[in-house]
Parts: sequence; structure tokens; C-alpha cells
Amino acid sequence: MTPHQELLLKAALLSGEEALESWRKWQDAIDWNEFLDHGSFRLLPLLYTNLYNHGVDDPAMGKLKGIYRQAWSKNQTLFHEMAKVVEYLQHAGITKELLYRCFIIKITAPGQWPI
Amino acid sequence: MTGNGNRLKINEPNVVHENIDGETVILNLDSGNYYSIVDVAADIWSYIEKGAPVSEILPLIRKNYECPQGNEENAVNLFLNQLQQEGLVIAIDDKSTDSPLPQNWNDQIMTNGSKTVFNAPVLNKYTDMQDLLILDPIHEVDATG
Repeated sequence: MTPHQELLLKAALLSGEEALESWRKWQDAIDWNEFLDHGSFRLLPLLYTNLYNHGVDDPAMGKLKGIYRQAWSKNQTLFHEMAKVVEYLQHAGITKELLYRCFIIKITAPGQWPI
Repeated sequence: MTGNGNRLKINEPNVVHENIDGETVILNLDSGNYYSIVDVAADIWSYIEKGAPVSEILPLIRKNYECPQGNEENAVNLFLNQLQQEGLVIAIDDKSTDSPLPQNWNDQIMTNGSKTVFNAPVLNKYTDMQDLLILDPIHEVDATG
């Protein structure tokens, strides 16, 4: 994990000033409009949720909201498709491992990219 | 108004929705279309979600919004018809045995403290998931953020 990814993780998951400070440092450190590694991008929906819950008013919130919205929609579509697969597998008696993985996806933040 | 039933029900599980900072995003999993609604439209959606009868939707709007132009009835009816045409809601009858709608809908609906001016509800429709990145009816955002 890079120091920038660690900052982003803190901004997305922690509470209070520690999260906000991490958010500010992360924004100052990188130009995420230009390039963002895939691992960091996957955290942005969670970042949006955490910043929103902290009442953050920042021009970046509009873009983060768009990323959250798209992630939410993509996950919903995946769950919908996955339900058909799970049903098929249930009939074939193959359920436990796959259902466990779906559960892991489901318990993460609704906007987060699937694992 | 909407015919074939005195309530509307969100067409779940084929339709999923989420409120994101005052905006309701709706996804029709059958068609793959996306929708975004705010303000009056989002309020109407929440009334439907809470199980308000169709006949109560217009009074709720008049209670919560200033309606000086007198066009609210047509606008609300048009919007409800759009929701049905897009397959986002279905008309049901209270006597329907498979209706899970709550009967205490009235307790769940908050009235606005101060009325804002009524604007005709709009159902924004998108067919490309990429559009979801940049659409933002609340914050002004372009393709580069």
C-alpha cells in the first residue's frame, strides 16, 4: 500500500478530524482528476459516503457523487445478474462458497465496487 | 388518474432505487435504463414508496408546495403515468392479497416546514451507464469534474 492509498483509506473509513485531515492531505498530494490507480478508484464511492456523512462541502463532492452513483448502479446490475447464476448453481447443488462471496460484497458499502 | 388500482407500488425487485443527497436514482434492471429525480418528483416517489394512495398524492403536493399556477394536477398525473410507462411502478388495488404496502403511510410522511414553489416533476432518463458519472442535478459537474 502506498502512502497516498493509506491516506485515502483513512479518509474513506475513519471518523472525525482524522478522516477530514486525511482527505485534505490526499487531495493536496495528488491530482486525481488526471490519474488514479485502480485500487484507489475503487475506494472513491466509500470516500463519498464518509465525506457526505461528515457534511463536507467541497467542489469535488459532485464528481465523487457521480462515481458513487455509477458504482451503485453497476453493483445493482451485477447483483441482479448474479441472482440468476446463484439460482442455477443452487439447482446444481453448488452454493456455499459462491453465496459466501456474494455476502461479502453485499455487506460492504452499497456503492463500493465488488471484490 | 392511473387506472387499474388505487395505489402504486415500486416494481421491485426489478426496480431498485437509492436516495443520494436529495436525488433519487432509479434503476430498471429489466430494461437497463437509469433515472434521476429530484425535488417534487423525488417527493412523489417517496410517497409511493411509503404506500400513499394515488388519491392522496396530489393533496400532499399541495400541502408541501406553493402551487400558484394551478398546473400541479396535470403535471403530477403526467409524471405518475410516466413512471408506469417506464415500468418503474405498478398499479395495485388495496384489496390485493400480495400487496406489502404499509397501511400507516400517513405516519411516515413528513411535511415540509416551509413551502417551496411547485415545479413540474421531471423524470430524467439515461440509457448509458457512463452518463451516471457526470449527471448531477444538484451540483454542477462537467465531464472533467
